[in-house]
Amino acid sequence: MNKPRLYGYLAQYDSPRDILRAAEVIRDAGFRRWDCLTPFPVHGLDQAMGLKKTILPWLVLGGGVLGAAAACFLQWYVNSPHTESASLYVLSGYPLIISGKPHWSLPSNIPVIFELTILFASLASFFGAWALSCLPRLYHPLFKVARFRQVTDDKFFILLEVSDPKFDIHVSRELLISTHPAAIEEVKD
Amino acid sequence: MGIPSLLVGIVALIAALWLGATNAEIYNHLLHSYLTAYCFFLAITIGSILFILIEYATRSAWSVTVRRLAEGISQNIFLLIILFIPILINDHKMLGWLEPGIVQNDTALTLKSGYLNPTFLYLRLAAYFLLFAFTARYYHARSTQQDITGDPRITTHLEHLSFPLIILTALALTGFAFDWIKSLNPHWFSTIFGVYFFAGAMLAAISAITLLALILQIRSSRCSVLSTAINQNHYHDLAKWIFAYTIFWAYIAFSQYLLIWYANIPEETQFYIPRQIDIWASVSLLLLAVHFVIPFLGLLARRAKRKSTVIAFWAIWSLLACALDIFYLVMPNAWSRDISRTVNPANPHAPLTDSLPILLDRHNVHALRPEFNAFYHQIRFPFEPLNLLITALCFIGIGGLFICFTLYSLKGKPLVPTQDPRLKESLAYENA
Repeated sequence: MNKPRLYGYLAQYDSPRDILRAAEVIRDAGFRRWDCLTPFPVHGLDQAMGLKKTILPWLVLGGGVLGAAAACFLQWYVNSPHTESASLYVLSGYPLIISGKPHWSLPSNIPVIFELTILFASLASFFGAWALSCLPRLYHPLFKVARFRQVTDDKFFILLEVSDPKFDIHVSRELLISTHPAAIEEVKD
Repeated sequence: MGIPSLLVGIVALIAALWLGATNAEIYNHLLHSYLTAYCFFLAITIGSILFILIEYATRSAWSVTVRRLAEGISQNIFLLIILFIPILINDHKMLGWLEPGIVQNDTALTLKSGYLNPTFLYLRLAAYFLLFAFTARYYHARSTQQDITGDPRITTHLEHLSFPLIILTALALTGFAFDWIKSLNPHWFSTIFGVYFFAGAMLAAISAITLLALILQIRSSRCSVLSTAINQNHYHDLAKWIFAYTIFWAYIAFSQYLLIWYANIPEETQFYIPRQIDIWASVSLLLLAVHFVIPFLGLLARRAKRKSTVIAFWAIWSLLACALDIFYLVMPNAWSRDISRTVNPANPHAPLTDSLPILLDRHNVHALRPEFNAFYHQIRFPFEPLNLLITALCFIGIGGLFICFTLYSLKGKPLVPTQDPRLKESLAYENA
């Protein structure tokens, strides 16, 4: 078995105000690989952490446009006329006349376009959010910290990871202590 | 701003009457233009009433700071009840089914006469106006009373009252749309029409509230209550409403179109046929673009919904789109009536699908196209400069009175409900 290595420092705060103030200090010190863990969304934490705007909306837009295009292609393809030519056989569809309407007519295509746009956009939003949060993740060193269980109740935490290029065992600890945490703990992996 | 807009409004209405009373055809156009403008401003007013009711019913906190402005706009119902008199006097010129001779010779209208008959029409109208006026007045009066007494029970009381009133107001809105817009074409069937009008009305109302808030904030001094009470987060939510009703309108409009297109029954398609002829087809496509496609793309981004200049632009845009929507609903009826009158002066209310083929036959042409020059000029589309001027004057006229009356209703009272129990929450509201 490997010897436990230091994963990072975990600082505990008792109120949203404390963690906001602490987050600003860590942000100003220039750290990149760190996170705030709170029992509920804290307003202003994104700014206090200096988080960049998420690219998720662009993923959703891309999903929506892809869905609309897929719906257009699907309906064009299945309604395309039958071809006798062997080489173009793959392009022939199943053109059916339904209620005397043309094979390709925008009013009847819009519901499918609409549905697939929504479906692809919501799938992009769902899986995009997972991917951007590096999920699913079955294990994290924090799971071994008993104190951390209170994150689902009333305590607020900042995790500073060793992998951050600015991380220094002594300086970073001093920095965390200067933000007046209620407790500070080493997280071992 | 109040007195100048009042004067402009009165002058515009007199000018419209002076221009419009020259002959029967132009007078017909004037009446429908007036009805268009009237329905547009009524839509804003009823939409504001519904906005207030919805905010109470959902106990929402964010909207407390803008609610007083909605209350101010909703007071216009009293102005609009007075402005309905010209429509009431001339109603038989627009609602063809009010003439008994026409109903007797028409099976469809005879069968519909259980609902479409004059007595019931006027009774319903009185009920709508009573309900709208009561709701607007009562909510405003109670809310301003709370400014003085600070009694939180008023909020609870208004919440309880809002549940039945939402249903009644929605029914009355549907009824009004059926009676005074849909029955311009009494042969037509569409059960979704009330929702269609509702979608446009809510969009117009939220846009008007947003615009009013922005204008008042620009004009008010830095230290006034309003200048800090409504901030970026509130505008973000208002912009979300505008965005939502842009999409909802398109959803409902398409739902109506798809079923009629698919079933292809003459009673239903006769609504779309005049609107797909020549210039009207361009108006329909323009409506699709300005009421849905362009604002949808423009308001999609979060950043757009948080910038007040961008929101102001889309609020004005949406108001114009709603005006075009009502124009599209009302004016083709006047136009098709002109054609029917040309074909058979005795029955000007015949559907266009009956009269237009006769007219085409008579002139030996097979389509209404600019190529058939001599014939084309006989069909007077309401896009001549004089017609457009009259329509614009009706909008400016009622709009001027509307603005004046809105400002008058807001005068002398706090622009923010100062004692509302949720005001504190609203002021601290943050849009994540």
